[in-house]
Amino acid sequence: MARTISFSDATLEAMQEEMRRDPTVFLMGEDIAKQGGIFGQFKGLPQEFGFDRVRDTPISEAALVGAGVGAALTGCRPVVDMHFADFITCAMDEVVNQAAKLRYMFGEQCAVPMTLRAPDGITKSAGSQHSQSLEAWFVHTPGLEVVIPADAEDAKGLLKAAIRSDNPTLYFEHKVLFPQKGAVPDDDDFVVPIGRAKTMREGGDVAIVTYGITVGRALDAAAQLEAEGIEATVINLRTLWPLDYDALANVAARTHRVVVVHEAVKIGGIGGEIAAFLGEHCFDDLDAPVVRLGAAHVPVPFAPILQEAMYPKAPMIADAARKLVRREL
Amino acid sequence: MPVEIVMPKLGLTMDAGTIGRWLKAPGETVREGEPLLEVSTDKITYEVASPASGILSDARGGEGDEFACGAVLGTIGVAGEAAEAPPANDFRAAEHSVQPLESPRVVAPVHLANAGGNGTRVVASPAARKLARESGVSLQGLRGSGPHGRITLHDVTAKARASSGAPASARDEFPPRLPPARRAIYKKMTEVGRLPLAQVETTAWVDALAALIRANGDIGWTAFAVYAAARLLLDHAELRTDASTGAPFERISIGIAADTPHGLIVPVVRDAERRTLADVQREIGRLAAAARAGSLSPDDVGSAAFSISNVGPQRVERVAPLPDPPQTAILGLGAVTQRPSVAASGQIVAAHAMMCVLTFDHRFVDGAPAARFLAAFAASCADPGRFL
Repeated sequence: MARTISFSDATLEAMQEEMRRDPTVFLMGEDIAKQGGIFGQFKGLPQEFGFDRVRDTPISEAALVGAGVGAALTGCRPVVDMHFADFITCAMDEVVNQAAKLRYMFGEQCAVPMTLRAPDGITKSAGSQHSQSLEAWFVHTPGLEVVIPADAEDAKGLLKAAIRSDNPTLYFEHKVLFPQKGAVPDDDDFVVPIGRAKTMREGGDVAIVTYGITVGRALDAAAQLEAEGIEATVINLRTLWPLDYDALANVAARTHRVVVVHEAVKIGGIGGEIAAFLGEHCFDDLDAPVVRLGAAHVPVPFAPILQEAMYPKAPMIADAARKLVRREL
Repeated sequence: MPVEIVMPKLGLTMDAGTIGRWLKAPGETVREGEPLLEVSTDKITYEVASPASGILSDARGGEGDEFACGAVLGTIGVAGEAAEAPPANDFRAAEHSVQPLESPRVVAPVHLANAGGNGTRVVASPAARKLARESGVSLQGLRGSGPHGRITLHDVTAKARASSGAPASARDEFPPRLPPARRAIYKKMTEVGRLPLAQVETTAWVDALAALIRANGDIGWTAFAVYAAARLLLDHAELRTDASTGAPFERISIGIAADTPHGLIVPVVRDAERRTLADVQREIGRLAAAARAGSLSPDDVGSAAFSISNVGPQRVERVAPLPDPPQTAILGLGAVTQRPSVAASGQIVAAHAMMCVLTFDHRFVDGAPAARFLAAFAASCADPGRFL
């Protein structure tokens, strides 16, 4: 059985179920307890679990993430909310030099089972300091796991998996997805396995590899392509690290043409890693260069027209796939 | 300075040309403008004239070798001047190369899939190379359909299929950029292209019909043609042969080729031989409106016994349409024009004329019965009163 709930509620249910299941799970963040989070994603939790397990914190990301790392080292499973993913920059030392390293540096005598919830992405002229998609930085940092849900099912299953993981896990959730509804399995123990991609639809002509908010845009593109007689596979990576390289190799072998797309900036983005992997390991399967689509290499503009012009949407994705299939690229 | 001879670009769509033969040998003296070699594309054969006077000092490639447009085919050296070989790593050649891997003047077949080294190489996608290796297809001389002539999987599969005689897959049946809406007609017309079609044509003198149509504002030329053809098809049963059975269609339903915003559509007037002229006209009006609106029902199309294509509304005088199998024949009508006509008295008078072309599948219909049908049709247009 499945229910249709919002992405936001799916994340709330994930925390609620994990908190019921495991008393070491607790939540920290700015305005999450009294206010319920800017997307209502923490609403009602203090009533059930008390203000000790749902904590409002001062506005200091360094302190907040540092406290999370410390709590994790002592055996707790903190979920730390960053409010906006952009603010992780204030806690980079805690994330990159502490959380990512400690399990390795202490020879696995300790672990850092912390989850960082990081609402990211472009929406409604939030401006360049509140619109970024920074996942590539953390994929590049060994010791961290990076998961990015695309819909309500992913939202719940990946957040539960992140909380249960013994590694520090960044959970990037696109702000535009919060109100979107989707089916979620009716199972308290439903978890989306970290490190495994999901095939959203199958088609033999071309593959669109993506994650997060862009999965929906890719599915729209695939529907358009289908009307034109082009069959596209859409891969939802779900996890960026560990990356599901097997899924990438399989899809290259099946379709021979791959578009990699994300809302994050194209230059230095994860699409480059995927294209490089396909070039290194799946060279003989490729009938055309891997096409990368991503945001322009500029700070996200405030001006709505510029903002909307700077990242890939369904028509751009369909266009790239179409050109690959027509042998124009 | 030596002057380069390059593969000419003879049209917008030409990416590469094939050497027919060299008309001069290296070492020969040539004058500017003198034919040097023959080049062929998929459309034409062309003589490349010498770009300068001097000595042909270098001639690359032999008959059948394909070169990208702009690729250097050789050089003309001035007498006494040392010939300079074209640069080994010519950028144009490397980028567009569908060139054979040869050093100048050495015409030896080389397996290009594994070509490497200095400059000229086959451009093929990795997947195409792999498939070529595995299926034993040589990439030599293969024309790539990708950008800059890159050989793609499509090209290798097509070549492998051509050499094995295997049937085309559904995907490869159509040109890659063909709009999906054209696929049905592409397929149909490919099929029609294989039929032994013959034609008869005549001029119908239609003064009486023109007068009738003027007098009855509601009646159109197409309606009369459908009405008359349907009645004639009662007796001329060969023209309504069902090619799938070899026997005549029982129902005399007439298709009308219609140009609509959704492309060519052929709505059908059912059982046209049983309808009055006014009824045919009403039905055509209904079908035309539905075709424009895109609201034709499945019953409104298909299963015609015969079709009519009228280009009169486009003011074109003659059309020779192709039948729509399993129909055996189609009648094409041109615009009605005033033409000089020799009257019974021997005088030349102005008269209304309409060109009628009947295309038919000669497997089912011979010329004489087709001619009889067309003559009867023209007669009915000349004397419509007989039918009404």
